[in-house]
Amino acid sequence: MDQSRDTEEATLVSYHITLRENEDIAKQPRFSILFLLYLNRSVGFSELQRLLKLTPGNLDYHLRKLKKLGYVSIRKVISWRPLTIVEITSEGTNVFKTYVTTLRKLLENIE
Amino acid sequence: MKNLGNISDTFLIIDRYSDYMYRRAWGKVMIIWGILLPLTITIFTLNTQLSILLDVEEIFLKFLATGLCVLFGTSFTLYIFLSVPKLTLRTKEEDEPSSIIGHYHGILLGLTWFILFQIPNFIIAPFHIVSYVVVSSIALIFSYLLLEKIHGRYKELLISGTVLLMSSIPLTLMVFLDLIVLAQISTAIVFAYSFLSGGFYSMYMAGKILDGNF
Repeated sequence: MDQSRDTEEATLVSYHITLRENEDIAKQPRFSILFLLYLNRSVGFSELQRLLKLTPGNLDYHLRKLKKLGYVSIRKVISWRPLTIVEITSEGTNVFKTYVTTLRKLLENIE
Repeated sequence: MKNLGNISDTFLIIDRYSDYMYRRAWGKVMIIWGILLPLTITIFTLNTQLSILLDVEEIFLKFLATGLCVLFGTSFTLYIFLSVPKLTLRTKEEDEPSSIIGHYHGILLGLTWFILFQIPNFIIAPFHIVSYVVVSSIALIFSYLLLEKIHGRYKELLISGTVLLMSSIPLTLMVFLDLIVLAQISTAIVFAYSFLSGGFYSMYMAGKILDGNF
């Protein structure tokens, strides 16, 4: 009985550690940016800015943070007007997936 | 709890982005048809002069114009709608019958437009072009009614459809009075006006959705 409770507690602790380790992506608007990119792969900078109601500087700050962590990549595209495209990296996809899965498991344990 | 707040905020953002992409797709498609249809009708109207100028058969020119319009318009429409990402997150409720229409509404809309646009092929010559106005209006009003249940109100579809339906009355009268050229030019103008205004309005509304002002 005690052993199973210990295992359960250890699992919960490991979930908490995973969430704590990824605290950088838990903050808004970074969580929204990654979630959107996780579903759509790439989104334009101006679209992100308008969607999240952020100033260009503010969005740039958060994107640079995510880029530094290796979760997103930013590239310029020459269309009929210059566009900045934000894309999720494979590392970003994996980390985000792990984060959301952990969060879901943790919620499942709450009675 | 903070994490849960983030998730619910993000769901709202994803919902808004999905709406924006879909409405923008409708806008683009309406604009392209608003250019293609009047252009094809103009070629039909100036068919005799153009065939002399280009030294080709009249029937060949008509066939070429229709073929290119259908091919380019359909492939553009398919490309635009298929590139709209499905951002809705699947839930168990989606398997319920009521949401099956929601899930397959794209196919239903495509089939309806395709079937309706076959009807003018069975309409006799002078009424042929005007019949496209009627089927377009029915298709637009049907799209409005279907989308209202799934994606919300696409007012521009209803307005464009109604404008086309109402215009079909004087256009049919023109054909009855043997004013064929005038009817063809008016049809081109009516198509351009209703589809382009609907398309630009859709693009404008998409921008408002993105900014969260709708």
